[in-house]
Amino acid sequence: MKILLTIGTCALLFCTSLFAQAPANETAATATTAATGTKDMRGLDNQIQDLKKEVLKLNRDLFILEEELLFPATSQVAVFLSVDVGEFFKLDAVTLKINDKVISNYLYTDREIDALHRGGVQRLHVGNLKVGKHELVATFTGKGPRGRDYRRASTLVFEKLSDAKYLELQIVDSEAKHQPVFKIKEWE
Amino acid sequence: MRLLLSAALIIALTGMFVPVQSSHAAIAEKVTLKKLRDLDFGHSLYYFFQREYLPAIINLTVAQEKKTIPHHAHDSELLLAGMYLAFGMHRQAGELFDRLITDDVPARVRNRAWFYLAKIRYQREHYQGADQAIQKIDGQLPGDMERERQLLLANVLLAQQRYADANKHLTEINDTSVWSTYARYNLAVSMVKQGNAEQGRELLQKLSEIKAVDKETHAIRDQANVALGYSYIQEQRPEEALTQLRKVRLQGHLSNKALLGLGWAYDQQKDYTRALAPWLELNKRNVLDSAVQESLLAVPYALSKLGKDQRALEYYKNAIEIYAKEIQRLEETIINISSGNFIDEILSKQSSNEMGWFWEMENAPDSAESHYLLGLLASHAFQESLKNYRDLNILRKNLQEWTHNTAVFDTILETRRLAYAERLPALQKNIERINNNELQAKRDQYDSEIKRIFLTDDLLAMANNEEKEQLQTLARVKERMQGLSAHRNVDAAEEKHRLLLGVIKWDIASQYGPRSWALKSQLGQLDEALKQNSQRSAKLMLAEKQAPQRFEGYGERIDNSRQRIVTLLQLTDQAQQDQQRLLEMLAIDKLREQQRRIDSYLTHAQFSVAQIQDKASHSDEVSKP
Repeated sequence: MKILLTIGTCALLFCTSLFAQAPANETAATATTAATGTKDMRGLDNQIQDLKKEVLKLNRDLFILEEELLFPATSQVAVFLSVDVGEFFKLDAVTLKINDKVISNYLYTDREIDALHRGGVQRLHVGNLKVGKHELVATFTGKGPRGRDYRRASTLVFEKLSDAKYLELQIVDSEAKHQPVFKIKEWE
Repeated sequence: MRLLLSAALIIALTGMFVPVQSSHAAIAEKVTLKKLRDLDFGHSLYYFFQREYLPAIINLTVAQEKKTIPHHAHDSELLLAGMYLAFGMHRQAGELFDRLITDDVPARVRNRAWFYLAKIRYQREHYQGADQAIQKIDGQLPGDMERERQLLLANVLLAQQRYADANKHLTEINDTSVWSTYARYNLAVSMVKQGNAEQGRELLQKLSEIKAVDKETHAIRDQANVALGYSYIQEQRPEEALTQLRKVRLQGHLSNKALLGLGWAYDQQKDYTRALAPWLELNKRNVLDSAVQESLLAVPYALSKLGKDQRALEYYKNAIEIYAKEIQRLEETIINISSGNFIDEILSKQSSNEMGWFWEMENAPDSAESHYLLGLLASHAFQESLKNYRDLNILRKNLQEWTHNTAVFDTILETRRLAYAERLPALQKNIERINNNELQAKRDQYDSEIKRIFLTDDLLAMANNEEKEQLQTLARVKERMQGLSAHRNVDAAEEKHRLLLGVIKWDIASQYGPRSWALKSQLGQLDEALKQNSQRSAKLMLAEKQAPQRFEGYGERIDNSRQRIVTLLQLTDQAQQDQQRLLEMLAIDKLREQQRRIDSYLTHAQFSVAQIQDKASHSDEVSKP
């Protein structure tokens, strides 16, 4: 942006001098105002940076508090989603069921899909479950190879113990089969 | 799992600084695989890649606090610093990058940290420091970053007025990108301004001859031709000025300046008739443009030179009218800006979620003020202030959400507290019942009895219910027999009694093994049941003890947070007001500058009218006998 500004300024320098001659005292006044403005701007910018820092700290503390309060580790179950390559499948939506109850229906935007393709991992769901055996069913909807409508489901029976449970839905390309593969991984 | 190498990350980060490059960088980016072991890191990246830096930063700092991303320590620091930068937190970013330039950090991370430090220093106008940071980079940076580093160095040299070094560097890197072209343009213009006109023009000449393939290269060519043209005009070399200015596209955004310059070049040749053509063309264009405004004076000036004073007078009067209107319009614009709508109008065309953008000209409101303020709007300082203003909006929204959420937390805690209070009496009753020692005493009693039976071989004690009934019957018979023995002979009956008792004892003795095992087993079952009871009791007691933890302590934390929210909201409002005032002040200053310029045109026009009228009155007097 600095570069662009320089270009604009340079062109004006050449063309405004033919008729318009600002009085010297006015030019000086403008320069002083500009300097004051820059000084104020720097001061305010520093103030805003401090403010941002404090707000971020507050957010960090409140996020931790929220998680402790709403999803304590003893009952927490989090479901993540990642995409590896994704050439054979364009994801549109995911439906999650735990113990036959729908807990999430998520429709993806292009921006989110792009973020997933670039290595981002989405936290699709976080909730609470009792200790014991549970069943997770994830249904993936989208476009499969050659742009055809594609719908697949993956199931996992998992044991919820007394610490937080992390599950990851993985959409992986199978080069050998030229098909997408849907997996559910349990994280220790 | 798929995941990414820092290179990709850094390429994406690159976009944060140089706005127009960001989109190119994003397209160029291709993720390289690396094992991503920490989901929380991937989760932050998910937001980062969507340019939602606030949730990305928060998630990353939460993960760091919880120590859940040990495998990405350096990368997460680098990412965090980059996001701080994108979120306008230069100081925090600088501090983090500083921490990454130690020897125990891998070279690839350290190099990038130096690179970003150089950028921060350049932006903060600490050019020598920026130069030093660039020199610290060891080897080549990956991908497009290396090219950007070279261009950054060119700009740093340029900013230090080391033109010869900058020129040499730009020649050596032989970069043909549009950014290199901009750097060369800036260098050329700086040389001309510093008095090294010949060398500057030589560079401009090369730029004016580049192959124009797109909008940007066409614009640069026009820009170079206009700059060359005006530099020749300043040196009174109209022929060369005309050659350059004629090359500028008629419909490009620089055509107004080119037309104005063409007129002045003809003027230097004293060819006023030819000068009139471009200036009259300009007269038809948008009067908000400074070149058009100047042409309003230039046309009557040329007419006057051609001796057409009457027509010149009409043009001057027309110019006076237009200038007066423009001055009035600028005054109204200043009043409009002061009313506080201007900033929100500018921001209304930007996405409210995406951060790190640089406001683009295409998004300028279609109003007089934006036309007058284009230069200011495009300036780095104004953009940074505008971003701050936008960020403060985001902060306020975030704080308001937390205000709402903390109220929800209160409700949750209150519900838990009530539920606990309701369940507590029943819970305590259960615990008391379980903890009652009667059960254990009874169990101990059974245990002693069993031991006595085994020790004394008390077979009858092992009788089953049927046998017990039979034994009781025999006991009653025995009693009767004793009553009758004085009067009758009961020997036979006694013999029968003895026989029957012997049969029962025999039956019991023959089942001694299974019956003693059954006794022991029942005692074992009793022990197991008592153990379970004890465990249940422990659980209930733990629940009783732990339940308050689900609401105690949180209240205090929530209250503290609420106070912080209130304070931060006040500070945010204040900072936003200050930022708004500052932005408005900058805009108003700029508009006043424009007002002064038009005012000087107005004075010039009025003076010229007076001159012509004076001349006319003198000629009238001369013509009078």
